[in-house]
Amino acid sequence: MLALLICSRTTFAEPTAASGAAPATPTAEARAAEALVSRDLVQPLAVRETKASRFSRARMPAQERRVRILDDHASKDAQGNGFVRFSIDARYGFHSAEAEAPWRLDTITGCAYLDRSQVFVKKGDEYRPAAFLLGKNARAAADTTCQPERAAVAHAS
Amino acid sequence: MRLRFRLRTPVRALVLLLLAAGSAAITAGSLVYFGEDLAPFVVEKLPLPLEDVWMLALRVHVVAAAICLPGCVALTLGVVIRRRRLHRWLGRVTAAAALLALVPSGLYLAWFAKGGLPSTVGFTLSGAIVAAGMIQGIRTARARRFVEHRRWVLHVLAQLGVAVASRAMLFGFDAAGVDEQLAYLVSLWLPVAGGFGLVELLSTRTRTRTAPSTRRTHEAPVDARPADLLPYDLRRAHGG
Repeated sequence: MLALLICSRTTFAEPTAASGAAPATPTAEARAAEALVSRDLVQPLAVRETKASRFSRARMPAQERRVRILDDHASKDAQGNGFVRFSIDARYGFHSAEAEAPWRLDTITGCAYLDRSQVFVKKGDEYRPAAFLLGKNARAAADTTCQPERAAVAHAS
Repeated sequence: MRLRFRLRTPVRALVLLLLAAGSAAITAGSLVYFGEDLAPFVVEKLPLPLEDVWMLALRVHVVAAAICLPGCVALTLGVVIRRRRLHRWLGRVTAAAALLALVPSGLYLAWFAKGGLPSTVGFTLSGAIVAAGMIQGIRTARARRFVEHRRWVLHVLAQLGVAVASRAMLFGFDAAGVDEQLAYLVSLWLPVAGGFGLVELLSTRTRTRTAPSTRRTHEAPVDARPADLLPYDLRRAHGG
């Protein structure tokens, strides 16, 4: 069993983006992106959710959210704009401080354009401005949004 | 027996009170569907095919629900039953809202329900029970077969009560940290099936206790139930 564990590729593997562990020392870009996502999405969303009716079929408000930045450095989209991907995990339900609820990973995913201070969230197959989650009827962004240049070319072809 | 009868009235009053309060809470919470901003429930659902049609169906559904559930609760009150004309007209308005708006819009919304096919089937079944119950309720009322009328309209009330029960259950499941999809399905199916079963159970007991004279016709619109099972107006007439 020990041999199996030692030989396993995942035993000592670096934490992946979805594993919930952030990079040891986030880059300046990652820190800036986290602050932007927190300011433009997570905080206003929490405020909005406190006002929403809980006697609804909509998903109950999260008790807590955390932002994970998935890229250390910005990627360029087909327009040449740099963006950083992020993922937001959430905790639901009422739990005591000792017995914390597990994080539900990737409840929101998207990307942040640091230069333009814009945040986009993925909804279905498309990306929309973060304002969409805050209740604004924001239409889907261009196909190239949040798509690395090469991926965008492949997507178009 | 006497104790059971004594308990029946407060339990019935409590259920009606909870339904009325739940209906008011749902209606208040549904006002966001008519504002400029998208409600959290709508944000969660989008993108959808024919978004405008879905949005229209949602609005029609919540307006109709705001009429039907309080209407059904009011129709069961003695003060309304005693006033036959009021009962009749309130029944007509409620039935029209249910059959022309609530059920058709609900059946459309069911196709896009959270939880996939099991949810779609659950909502469709609930809508079908409402429609069948309402149609049969009208027919039996017109035929003055009040025992059967009571049974059918109770089915309607039970299914409309699903809206309140399922929301309360969703709240509880969220507090307990139950998986969202599972919570949604259980919160739908349990009240739908439970409501149907409960009404059938109560109706069966009523039929059993009133046998063999419950089968009444146009020619003999006589209510042979014991006085405590009669509608309020008839109970008074019997001196109960």
